Amino acid sequence: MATLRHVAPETVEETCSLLAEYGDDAAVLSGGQSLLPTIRRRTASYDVLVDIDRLDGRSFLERDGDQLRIGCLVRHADVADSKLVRETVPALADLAGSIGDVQVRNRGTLCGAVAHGDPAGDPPVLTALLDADVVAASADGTRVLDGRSFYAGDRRTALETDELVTEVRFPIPDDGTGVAYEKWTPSGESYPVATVGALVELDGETVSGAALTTGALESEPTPMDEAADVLVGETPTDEVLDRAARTLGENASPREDHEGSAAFKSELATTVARDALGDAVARAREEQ
Amino acid sequence: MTDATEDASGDVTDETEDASEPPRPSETVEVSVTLNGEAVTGTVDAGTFLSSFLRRERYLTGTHRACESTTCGACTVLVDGDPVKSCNVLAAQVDGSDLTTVEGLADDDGSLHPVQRAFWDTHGLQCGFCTPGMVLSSVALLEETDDPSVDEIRTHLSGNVCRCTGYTKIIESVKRAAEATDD
Repeated sequence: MATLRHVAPETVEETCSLLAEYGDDAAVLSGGQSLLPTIRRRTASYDVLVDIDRLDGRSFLERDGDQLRIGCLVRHADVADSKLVRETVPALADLAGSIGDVQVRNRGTLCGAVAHGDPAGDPPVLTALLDADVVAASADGTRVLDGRSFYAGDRRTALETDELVTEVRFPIPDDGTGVAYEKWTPSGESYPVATVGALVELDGETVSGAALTTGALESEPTPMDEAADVLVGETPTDEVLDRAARTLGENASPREDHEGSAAFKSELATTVARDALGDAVARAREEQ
Repeated sequence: MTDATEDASGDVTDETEDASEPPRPSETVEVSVTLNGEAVTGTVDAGTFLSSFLRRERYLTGTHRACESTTCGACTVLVDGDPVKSCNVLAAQVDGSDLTTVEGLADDDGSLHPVQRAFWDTHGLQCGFCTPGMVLSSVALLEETDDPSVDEIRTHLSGNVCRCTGYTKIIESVKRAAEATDD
């Protein structure tokens, strides 16, 4: 890495100007927990690392109306430990606390993981499920991207090379809506093999709306609408939740790899989805 | 921010500094840190990992290198009190930080930190290679929690791999350190 160059801008404008200047030769360095291993393994090569750690005023984690705003320097550990996140979008606190290990959570940033778009990354799943606003700045200005359509394949996103994610805004679920995130990892700190985000909206004891998104199985977060539709109009009994989870497993198209066959991962997805649905329904009842 | 440095050693030499111009990328970076209580400044290649900076520039070889892939945790050090894996952090990223390595734990007279003492007394190690990382992660845990449960200890140490002990003695050591620091 002898030819690597480092630059630490202090403003978003300077950052965007550098990203525009160096294009594909530059990478944004925030926590570096995903970026640095790829450089070390030489699966990616960059001339310039634009280190955003000195940007001023980008560590905010605050409520703004019905949204939770997370600035681009907020680390996973901050999200996991935040009382505000626990009270407003508890599934996001669960998710952040489940990423990697303590050391990784102390460095990695939530916005960095959203922008990196690893297929097995955790934050992309809730970004897509909840249709979070991804705020992207460039030299030309700022635009707000829809979380639901942000991912376009393995580490491919709607971001242009000269754009910086300055914040992500998660919608705070209404009363009567429960959101949960569950996953299965082969060992403590490794990447998950199957993840599911579940959203259940209750009207009394009837499901009035539902959404399910898987991660890690395919090349990007994948909405599972048919499985979610199983729930709508039903009372969320064990039998109904089982049926929705089974539909999710049947409809999933997991990539076969060293972690298991497609059939194994579909079974896994069913189990993880069932757990997520159970949690989401419990949360929806609590919030009513 | 006051601790930010304007890097004048970039590759564009004929450019005058201007407030509207971003700083220039540089192949070398000046790093100023507080390392085990001592102010230290060094100039390193931009791609230098913190573990290399500590071992090669500062000769602090208690920070062990093994997997070099953010897995094993042997290279764990504390950055502003938080455990991080120094094989996956650039030296440039910790400029302005307060660093603690295993060498910074014992007192000047050589008397061990309570966590080191507990690992010694409980025999919370066999080959000892993972021990600096285990000890530093445990120090950080006990800064947060006086009396961690076994589950909390296991979760907190999940980023530190030991291939000898089976972890039982390590967890006992952390429990014993917690009791000792309670007194």
